[in-house]
This record gives sequence, structure tokens and C-alpha cells, in this order.
Amino acid sequence: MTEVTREQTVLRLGTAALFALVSIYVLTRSLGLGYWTDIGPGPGFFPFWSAVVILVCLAGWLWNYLKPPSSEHDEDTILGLDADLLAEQTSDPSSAADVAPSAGVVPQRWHLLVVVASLVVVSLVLVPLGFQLAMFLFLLFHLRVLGGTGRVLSLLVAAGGSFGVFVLFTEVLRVGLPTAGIGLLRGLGL
Amino acid sequence: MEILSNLGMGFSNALTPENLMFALIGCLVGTLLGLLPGIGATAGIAILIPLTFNMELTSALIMLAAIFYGSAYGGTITSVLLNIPGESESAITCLDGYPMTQQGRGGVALTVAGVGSFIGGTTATVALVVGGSALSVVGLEIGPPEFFALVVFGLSLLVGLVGRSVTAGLMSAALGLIIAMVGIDPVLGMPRFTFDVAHFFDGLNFVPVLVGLFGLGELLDTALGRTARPRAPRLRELLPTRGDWRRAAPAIARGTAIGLPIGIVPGITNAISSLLSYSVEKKVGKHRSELGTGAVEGVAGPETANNAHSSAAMIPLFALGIPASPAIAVLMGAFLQNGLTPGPRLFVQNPELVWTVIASFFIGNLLLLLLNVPLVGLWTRVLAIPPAVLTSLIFMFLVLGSYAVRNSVIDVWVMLAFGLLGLLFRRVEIPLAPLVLALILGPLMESALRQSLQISQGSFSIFVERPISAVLLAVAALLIGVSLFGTRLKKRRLLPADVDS
Amino acid sequence: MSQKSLALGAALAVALGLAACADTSSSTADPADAGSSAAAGGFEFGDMTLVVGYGPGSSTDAGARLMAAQLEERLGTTVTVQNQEGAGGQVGLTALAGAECDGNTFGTINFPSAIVSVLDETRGATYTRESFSPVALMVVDPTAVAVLPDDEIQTPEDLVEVAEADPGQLQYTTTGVASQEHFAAIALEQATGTTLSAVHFPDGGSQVKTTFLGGDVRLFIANVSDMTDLVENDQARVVGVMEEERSPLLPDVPTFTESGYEVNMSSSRGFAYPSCAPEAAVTALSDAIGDVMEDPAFLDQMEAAGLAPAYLDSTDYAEYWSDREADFTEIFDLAFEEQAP
Repeated sequence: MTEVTREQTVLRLGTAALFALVSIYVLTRSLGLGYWTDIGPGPGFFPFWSAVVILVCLAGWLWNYLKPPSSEHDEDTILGLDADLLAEQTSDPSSAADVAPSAGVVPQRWHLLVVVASLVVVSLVLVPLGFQLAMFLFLLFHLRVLGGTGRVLSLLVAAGGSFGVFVLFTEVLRVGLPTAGIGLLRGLGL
Repeated sequence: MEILSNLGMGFSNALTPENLMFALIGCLVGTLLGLLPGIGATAGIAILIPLTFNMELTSALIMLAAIFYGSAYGGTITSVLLNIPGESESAITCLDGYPMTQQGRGGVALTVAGVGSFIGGTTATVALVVGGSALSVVGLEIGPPEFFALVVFGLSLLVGLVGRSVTAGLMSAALGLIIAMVGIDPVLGMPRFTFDVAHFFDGLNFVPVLVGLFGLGELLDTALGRTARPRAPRLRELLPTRGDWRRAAPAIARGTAIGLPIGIVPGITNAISSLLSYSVEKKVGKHRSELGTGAVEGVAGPETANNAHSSAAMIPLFALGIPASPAIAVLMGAFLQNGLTPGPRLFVQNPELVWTVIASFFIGNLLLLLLNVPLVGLWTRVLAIPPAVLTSLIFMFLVLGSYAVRNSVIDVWVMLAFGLLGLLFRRVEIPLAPLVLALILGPLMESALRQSLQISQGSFSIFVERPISAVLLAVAALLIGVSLFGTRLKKRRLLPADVDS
Repeated sequence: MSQKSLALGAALAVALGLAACADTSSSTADPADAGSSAAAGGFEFGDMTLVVGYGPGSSTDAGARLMAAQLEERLGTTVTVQNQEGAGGQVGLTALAGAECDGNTFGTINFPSAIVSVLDETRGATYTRESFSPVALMVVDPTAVAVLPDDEIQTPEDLVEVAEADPGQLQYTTTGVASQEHFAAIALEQATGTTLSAVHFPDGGSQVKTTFLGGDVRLFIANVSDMTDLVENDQARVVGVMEEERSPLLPDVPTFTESGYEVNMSSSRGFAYPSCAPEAAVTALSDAIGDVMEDPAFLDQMEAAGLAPAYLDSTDYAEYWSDREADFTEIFDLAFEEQAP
């Protein structure tokens, strides 16, 4: 039995909303692309039906969610067929360890936010600052601030992971990586 | 037999120290390229082609070909150990490979993958030698209608892949299909869902999408503290047990049987062979219920199929002069730029070169096996790197790989977005496999369908008029029927007694 | 075990080093050319970048890399190829239009895609003809029509006969709507007064060839450079070439013009700067490219790659561009008319 926590509910509703938004958008746009042509399905055909499938599934979810809990079967059914049997007792490939909310949840969430923010920042500055500088700062941040790694190791790894990698890719592999957009930094060879 | 004597001549040339060294270099470079997401064999070979002008031609071709099949192996390493798929076919390996690593069995996965790849690749090369031209003629019979039928057949096998919740699986698949539709319409040429960004005209590139979903998604999940970091396996855990081999062997056999024929057909990527192998394992594998949680078959089958496919893809190149994939097209370019035209003529014009290169395929496959299986211990040491360092470097890796695919920051943003999506999916337990499935099969299905209809000028009968396509569709219909209604019958029978789920 | 891995690691490093050394050595300037300095023809070139709007290994990329290698020697500086593929060349063109104005970044220009991407409003191109300064033309690749060797169609006249007998039934391959092949077919229809039927394969060249060789589509339309390998392997027979003069790569094949049908369709590859680049750079680079294209060894390399060399300097290339623009504008509307859903 899966215990549905508050967090889970919020996430599920959020996901459902996301799916709904995407599929409604696709639904409206796909008809404009052309549903059918002389020679078969048009550009809008598959997107249209994909969106329909999503909306039907969402409706099913919603119905399952709102209906009074009756049987011990918590799984949703579709078209009257039991989902379990249909899926032949397969396990969900992506299920992680059991949901175990603990006191450490709040700091973890902050951690996640910081990580995501750092990724956003590095992507933003990748072109203006150039790969080497951007990645050097990113790695230093992750190593020192988030990871608590020693000073020397942090510097070594950060340097290798930014300047070292840059040299590897541009010189040896002849694959371009962004150099600094800001002229001053470019003059420094970044 | 003439073939044997030709092959013998080829081997005697390929086994010279010089050519052996180039084969080795090719394997190493290929593996390295495969390790890096976003840089594949295609780019690597293209960049090195000018090099070949100054080299002995045979040696150059040996090296470039080795890069090609070596890169398949590199992708396996990052998929299994880090859940970072280097190419779309590696994403399938992630499904069971990474859980194996999480259970401390990453070394086992890599070894099994290595051996399976060797078997698949060698078998396919034997097919090239023995029946190349005959097989390629069959390959020509496969056109858009057969592609479509093949995709439908693949889908029918995958009815059971959706997991516990059918709706979640369907939503995931439908979303994957929508993502696959982004880009310019294959027939009419107008942009779909591109938001006027030129970069999206060719659709969302698989690499940032998959790297984001699997690699970043997993890392973010770990950042939340939900999943445990996999630990480096101890020495004795590196080798597969007897039991592992007993389970892997049939999967390897099946993988070869799947990858080889599909590889002969130009225009189908090896991701599809991997996918079909996985779905067959799901359908008929003895331990199919374990797939997705770290079953060795889930690695053995797809990896073998993948390599069999890549090596079999050499058949249309040599027998017909048709490159089956972009990477092979580049390889063909290497031939062309050096004044050689691959195809049946080449066997007559330049038999020594052709047979030497073919012989080098056998050698290369063996080299890869010898190189990579002992190195498994080295690769798994990567997991022993302190977590903060490893995680930081992986983040860098992900950003780098996504950028390098097409030299664009936009792909990095795509990777980020899909990373967040991957995290979300993991949290609400929506399976990723159907999305990957739709992403890989979707474009092929749509273009095959619409191209078939262009050829038949709108008539759907083309699918049943052509024998191969008709057979595939019939089997698919049968499989779907059995899945849907067979379970209904099962349900009725079980109704009186208590259902034990 | 650790000692073994160390040894293996060292071997790896050595091998990589070998590969790296082998690779970089091809890019250093030939000492014999030490006389030609970085300042060629009045312009001082720094480290240069060549933006290629197509993927590594593509025909355009191959030609560009050949040229880059030669320019490195002649100009005594590095020329790094940067692949910016996507949207049929549009991504590369966008990058080129917005590139640095210092004369060190130039890029490949392919017709018809450089022209069509501007004409087709749905593509939302952010550049126009004026965003670029033409530098030089390198390749002109005429389009041709081929059939399977045992097909009854042997000459352009046969082709027209068959097309007239069954209007709208004779099928041909293209690499997408408004592609080179599509335009070629439309031009052919116009010149011969017939109607053909298109089958589009935007996904890739190998599918086109397989479908053609498998006998599912009768006419294979492509650039000559894409056909030579099929011809060499006796897998296809070229019916006619859409150029004014016979192609040197296919001397036995008649042109449509000599058969009485005025059809001239070719794709071409050249180079350009962003329009803000200095004039001196344009001239200097154009001259350098011209020099390279007089080198017989280079021409051999191009022929081996199936690229028919055709050089025009910056002024002539600009004219060529305008002419092609006029040609394609005419045909463009017809291409989309056909496809109305």
C-alpha cells in the first residue's frame, strides 16, 4: 500500500496540471497544422491523438482520485481491465526507494534548489564568461560550498574540470567550446 | 572456398603490428568518444578523416572503423555506472544497468555487456563475410511500409512495459510522442511546435533529452537524498556468477538474432534494436518480472543487439554502398575522399583492402573485449571517487555533453528542463521507459507511415500487399489481441478464488 | 590489480598521445611555406573559424575541411571548423550572420538552402541576403535524374514520354519539401509540361537510396556528387543532367538542355563573411581560396570527394547569388502550392 503524503499529493496535482497544460496546448495547435491530407495523416494527426490520450488518462486519474474508496485495489483500471493483470506483474522501472519523509526533508529541498539554481546560472554565463571560467566557478562552488571538499583538492579538480577539459576538447578533439563573450576576458585567453 | 582464402589474406594483412596498433588506437579513441555524451563516433571520425590522407589507407580505414564500433562500448560504461546515456540506444541499458550498479553489480553488468557485444559483433561480421551480398538484397526489400510494420510489431511487444499504472505509462508514452513530433513535419515541411526557434527545426536532439531525463534526473533525485549513492563494488563482485551467465546467455542469443537482421536494413538506428531486444526479454525472458530492477538480461540483450546491429550495418555499406546511419555515412566519406567507392565494385577493384578491413573487424571486436573486460575494475573505481567530487564532475559532464552535441547552449537548457522533468517523474512514479520508447519509435513510425502512403499515393493497402509488412502486422495484431483478451480470460477464471497480486 | 590498471592507463595515455600528435601535426603550417605569412594579400588574419551549417561528415563539411586544411597552410594560421548544424543549414547561417566582424570568422553558404530559408517565412530566418558578404564560390553540383539500370527510360525524351503517358504517377525522391530535388522536379515539370509525383524523405539519404534501389520509387533525383557512387557500382543509370554543359564527372550523360528541355538546376557551395567584415578581408580570403583552387592536388581531392570545383571570386559570386535568388524565387511558390493540405 502506498502512503500518499501531502507532498506527494501536491506533486501529483502539479504534474497533472503540467500534463493538462501541455496537452491542451498541443490539442489546439495540432488541428491548425492539418489533421488529414490527401495521402494520409497530416502533421497534426499524431500530436492530436497523443494529447487526447493524455487528457483521457488525466480524466481517469481524476475520477479515481475523486471516487469514494471502495475496494482494496488502489490501482486505476482502464476500460474495465485490471491494470495489474494487464501489466503482467511487471515492476515499475523507475520506482525509487520507499518514500520516507524524515526531519531531513527541508534541508534536502533547499539543497535541490541550490543545485538547480547553480545549473541555471552556469548555463546563463556559459557564453558570456566562456566555458573555462564559468565551469571553474561552478565546480569550485559545488566542491567547496556544497560538498565541503578540501581547498587543494577543490582547486585541482575545478581547474582540471574546466581548463583541462577545455584544452582536451578544443585541442585534441577539435570540438569547439564557448570562449568568453566579454572581450576583456577573451583577451586573457578565456 | 574463395571466401576463406580472401579472408585469410585479409587477416595476414590486418595482423601486422602497424595495423594492429591502429586498430587498438581506434578502439581506444572510440571508447573514449563513447564515454563522452554528445560526441559520438560520427564527429570523431569526421574530424580524423583529413588525417587519413597522410596515412597508409588500409591502416586509416581500420582505425576509423574501430572508432565506430568502439564508441558503442564507451556509451555502455557511462550508462551503467552513472545512468548517463551517451546515445539513445544507451538509454535502454540504463534501465537495468544502473539499478545493477546501485546493487553493487556494475562490474557484472559491464562484463556481461562486453562479452555480449563481442558475440553480437563477431556473429554479424561472420554474416558479412559469408552472406553479405545475399543479405543485402533482402535488406532492399525493406522499405517504409516494412518499417512501419516493424514499429507496430515492436509496440505490440511492449504492451506489457507500462508498469504498475497503465495511465501513468500511457501518459508518459504520449508525452514522449509529442516531444518526438517537435520539428519540421517529415512530409509537408512545416515547423511543428518549434516556437520559432530555428534550433528546434530538426526536433529536440535525443542526447540532451535523454541525458537530462536519466543523468540529471537521477542526480537531482540523489540531491534530494532519496536514492542512495551506488558504492564501488569489491573485487570479487566484478565478475558475473555462473547464475548470471546462465541467465545472460539466452538473452545474448536473442539479442544477436534481433540486432543482426535489423542492422542490415539501412535507415533503422541501433536504438531500435536495443529496444526490441529489451521488449523481447520482457515478453519471453524467464525472469522478465525482474526487468527494470537490475536484471542481467536487461543489459545482456540490448547491448548484444546494439553491437550486432552496428556490425551488421557494415553489410549494406560493403555490399551495396549504402550507409545505414550517419556514422557509417561518415565512414563512407572516408572511403570516398580517398578515391574508393564502397560497394560491390570495390570487392573486385581492391579486394585486398576490403578483406583486410573486414578482417580488422574481427580483430577489433576481440581487442575491445580484451581491453574493456579487464578494465572493468578500473571503470568501477570511478564510483569510489568521493561523492562531492564525482557529482560535481558529472554535472560538468552533463553540461559539456549537451553543449557539444550541436555547439549550442540551447541544448543545455533542454537538458536542464528534462532533468527537472525526470526528477518529477521519479517523484510521482511515472515510468520513464514508455517515454523513451515513444521518443525512439515515434519519429520512425510517423515518417514510415506517411512515406508509405506517399508511395502508395494514399492507399493503405500497401501494408497488406507487401508480404513482409503483412506478416509483421498480423503477428503484431495477434500479440496485442493475446495481451488484451488473454488477461480478460485469466481474470474470469480467477474471479471465484481470491486474486493474489 | 592496481598495478595492472596503472599500466593499462599508461598505455591508454600513450595511445591517446599518439592519436593527438598525429592529429595536430596535420594542422601545423608546412615549413616550406614559411614565406607566406599570416598577412596575405593585405589583411592580417588571426585564428580563424569556419562555420559549417551541416554535420560532420556531410558533403559540405567534407569540402569545408579540405579547404580549411589548405587555408591553414596558405595563410599560416589556424582555421577551426565549427559545425553548427540544424534546420537545413539555417542554424549555421544564423550563427554566421551574427558572427564577429573582425574578418576571422567565415562560413559555408549552400544554395538553395541559404536562399530558400529567407524566402520561406515559416522558417523565421533572422538573416537576409544583406547579412552576408560573399567571398567565393567553391562547388557547383548540378542536379540529375537517375533510374535503375534495367529501367526502360534511357534518355530525357523517354522520361518525358513516360511522364506524359501517366500524369501524376511517375514518382521521384526528394530530401524534403522545398529541397533541391523538389525544386529540380518542379523545374522539370515546368519545362516539359508534365506532372510528376513527389515522395519526400527528409530523414536521410540512406532511406532515399534504399527506397530507390528497392524499386519502390522510380526516379532518383539528386546532385551528381550523390550519384557517382551508385553509378560506379552499376546500381543506377543517370538519365539526364540539369546543367547547360555536360558534367565532367558524367561525360556520357546528356543534359536536359541539349534534349530540348530548358532545365538548369544545381546546388552550390561557397563561402561568405558576415556583412560587417572588412573589405580587405573579403578580398584577401577570396584570393587565397582562388589560389587553393588552382592547386591540382587539391582539385584531385575534391574530385575524389565527388565535388565539382567551380571558382568565382567575391564580385562574381555576389552576382551569382543574385541570379540564383531570382531563379529560386520563381520556383519557390510552386513548391508550396503543390503541398496544400
